[in-house]
Amino acid sequence: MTWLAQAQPLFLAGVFGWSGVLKTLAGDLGGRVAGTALHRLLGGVVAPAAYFLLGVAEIALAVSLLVDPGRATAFAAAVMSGGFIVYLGYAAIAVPRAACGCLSKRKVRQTWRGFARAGLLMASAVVAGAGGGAGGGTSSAWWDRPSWGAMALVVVAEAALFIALSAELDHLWLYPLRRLRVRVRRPLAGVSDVVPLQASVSVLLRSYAWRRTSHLVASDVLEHWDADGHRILVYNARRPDGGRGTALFAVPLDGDAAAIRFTFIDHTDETSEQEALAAPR
Amino acid sequence: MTTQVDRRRFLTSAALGGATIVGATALGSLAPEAAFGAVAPGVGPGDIDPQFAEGRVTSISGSLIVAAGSDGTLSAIQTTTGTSVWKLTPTSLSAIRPGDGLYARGVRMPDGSLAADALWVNIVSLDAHVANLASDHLDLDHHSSKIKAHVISGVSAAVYNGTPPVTDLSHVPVGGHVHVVGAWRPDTSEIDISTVYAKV
Amino acid sequence: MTAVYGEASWFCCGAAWGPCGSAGGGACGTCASSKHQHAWPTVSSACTGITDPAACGVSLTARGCGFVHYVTNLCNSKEVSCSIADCGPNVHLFCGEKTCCGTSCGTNRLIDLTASAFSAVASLSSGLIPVKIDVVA
Repeated sequence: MTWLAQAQPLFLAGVFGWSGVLKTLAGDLGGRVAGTALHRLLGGVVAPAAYFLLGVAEIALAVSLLVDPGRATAFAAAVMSGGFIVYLGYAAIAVPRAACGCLSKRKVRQTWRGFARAGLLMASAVVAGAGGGAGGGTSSAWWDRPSWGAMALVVVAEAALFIALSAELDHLWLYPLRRLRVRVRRPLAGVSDVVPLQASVSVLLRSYAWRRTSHLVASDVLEHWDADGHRILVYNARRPDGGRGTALFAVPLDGDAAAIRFTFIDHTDETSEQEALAAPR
Repeated sequence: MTTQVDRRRFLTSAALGGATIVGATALGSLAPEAAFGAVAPGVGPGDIDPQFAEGRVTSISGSLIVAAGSDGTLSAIQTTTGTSVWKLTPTSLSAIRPGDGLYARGVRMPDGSLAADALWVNIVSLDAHVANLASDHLDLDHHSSKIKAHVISGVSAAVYNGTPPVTDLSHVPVGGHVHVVGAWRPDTSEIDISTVYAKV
Repeated sequence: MTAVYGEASWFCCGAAWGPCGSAGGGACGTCASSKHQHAWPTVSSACTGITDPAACGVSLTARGCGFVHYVTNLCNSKEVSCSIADCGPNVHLFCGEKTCCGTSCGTNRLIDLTASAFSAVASLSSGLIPVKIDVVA
């Protein structure tokens, strides 16, 4: 199983290298750190610098894993992974809703996946260290009698698992898969011949009739029902002189805002007041 | 029941017999210009609105609701048959329970109580990231918290790109961001969806 | 500043019930749902970095905590004056989103009002309204 240990430095170099490049070269350090647990831990002035230096360290570790794989670099990778686990633990306790800021500018909630991902790196570092030669030599370096096929399989499998455990990368695979499932199954398609109440209210609120009468309306919708191709919307109302009343709107279910009918029922003398209006269109 | 049916019949007849308003013509005594008397002083920017109350319902006694505000004060909210109640849909006072959250708007009375014109019970308005569409709910992320947003058949609606609301929520974009108005299920991280606003 | 036209939503802040993203007084420390206040996308440089209105081609004047805006609901002409108390909304997440009343439209999510401020000009059950935002009444 030498190939298993040989593959680990390649996997770890890929992860730390990518993470380091993102931290050092992607720009907007302040914005990337804002809202993360690191920002909470070190403050707005120190956190961006620490973030950058961490990226430099990750790049250095990645290069070491490639050019000098062995127990020493495996140990360094294990320490780095252990540090991440401790950092995630701090974040979970102190700032549970903060983003990790580990891999991307995307701010995502930390869950068990973050811990599992850091655990994967730790396990990889341990396997790499166990495969190192006595005295820390490079007797199991990835270029030493390589079994390319097996190593490639291991690296690809570990990379896939790493991506699956990275919430920041869900937009690359998880959301497209879910969108495909929605396209196939069409959940929540609703009931096609139902006009929701919000549709009638929306037609009313955006209508000329509402602009002319909303000053009379004193409440939200009191009650509603359908009659004769209309939705009747009832509101509590107040006359400009302060008297109480009821405002009725008959909103056509086909959404024709120009055909909305308005009636004011005066509570004082129980007469209904209707204004016959000229209708220039 | 007969009274209710008669009332509805009367109101329906009145509503369908009402006037369409299509011209820039005065509404007679109902026009805003007909208002007289002192205009009520507006609320200053940054000030507490005396015509508004919020909190969680601690007790309901007849038409009187007592709510404990976020600032610790108790609000006495007086309701009438003219008070609208929103609890996902327009409903009645009998739907309100202790523990419900509410916002109220009305008229502050001399005794300090609020004569409510409108109550919005458990209403929430939030921006969220859509993590998943399930058969009967959406999984939302809101400020790093998970929210399960239930879709209620015949009630929940979606607005796509500002078009009229529809009951088809299947186009809500997984991985995208939406605005949601809904009713919170007290003491849970779940809501019932009233309207989802999405850009597709 | 000339008036800008956009969409307004409402949010909860302060110690509040339910899912409330701005618990604890908001970015300015004074936000409360019962006060006539609002969230503004450019209340600070850090806030602007998060809300990124420029991504939608929108240029908003940077204003600090306590600055007063006058917000008019284009559907009914009701106006409310409110002061900045928080950072938001996340403009860049809703670029191009439009809400209209007749021919009066607001494009892009530019302002978030507290529940009391929003209910002074519209029903809380309305999620988004087209508004005019100005610095004078």
